[in-house]
Amino acid sequence: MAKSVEQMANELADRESIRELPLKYCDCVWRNDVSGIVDLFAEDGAFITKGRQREHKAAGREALLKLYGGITSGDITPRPYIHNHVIDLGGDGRATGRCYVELRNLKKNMEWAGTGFYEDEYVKAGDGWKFKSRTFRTAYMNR
Amino acid sequence: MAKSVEQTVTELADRDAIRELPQRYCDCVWRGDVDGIVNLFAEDGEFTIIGPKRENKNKGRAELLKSYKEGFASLTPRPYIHNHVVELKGGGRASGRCYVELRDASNNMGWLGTGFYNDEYVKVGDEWKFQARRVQLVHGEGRMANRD
Repeated sequence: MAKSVEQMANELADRESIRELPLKYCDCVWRNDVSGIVDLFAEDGAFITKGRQREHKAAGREALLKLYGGITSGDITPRPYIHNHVIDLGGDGRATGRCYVELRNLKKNMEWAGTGFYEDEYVKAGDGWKFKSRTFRTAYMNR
Repeated sequence: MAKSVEQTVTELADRDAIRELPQRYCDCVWRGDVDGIVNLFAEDGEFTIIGPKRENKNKGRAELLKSYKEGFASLTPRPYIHNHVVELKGGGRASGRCYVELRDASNNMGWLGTGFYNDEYVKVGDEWKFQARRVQLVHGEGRMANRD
């Protein structure tokens, strides 16, 4: 059955709002806006990094603030560019998506630092969408 | 005459669905999902690679499956898509162009090259598909530099 205009408009608005999440995330990372990053997550939202050898998970506002508070303290001060964002609306205020990222390193004259992708879960919170979880997988990182 | 709300929303939905095609194409290439790539094409969809010396065209599901499988056996591109422009033509047809950068998963994600796709899109039922993709490499490095 063909979708009604209202259904189409709601889906477009949902997709647009979800599409903005990884863009705002990158914008916040560029500006070292830690609370801005964490505000993009649901209250119980989680960020997971999956490496070849280990996995790290930070869940909930406090853990996320602590994690992202150290964003400029490592070998890399990341400056991300997001690409290829695909979204699957799941209904009932849920969605999933995947997007790809290239990172440059502010600490090393913005040299290309690596690439990978995020597997995301999104949840509708009030009128807006939030990250329910972000799982980052590295494809390659300069060490 | 001004467009109705329904026309406007339908066009926005069409543009959104078309805009997703190259993104999903890249996502499938990254994951080596050949079936996923071919499902983005219409049944009689075609993919053409324009090289410096010749064109290589594959048409229809069987040819596309074979060519993508062979392609991924010799190259491991990891694409990022940019600058997608879309022109709706009415009657379930549209065209567009988008630009791509490629990195090589077999070479520490080294830069492999750049180029662009000239696309034709067709609405099949409720879904938009590639009717035709013509990719032209502007600059290639390593294994991409030697392609004809």
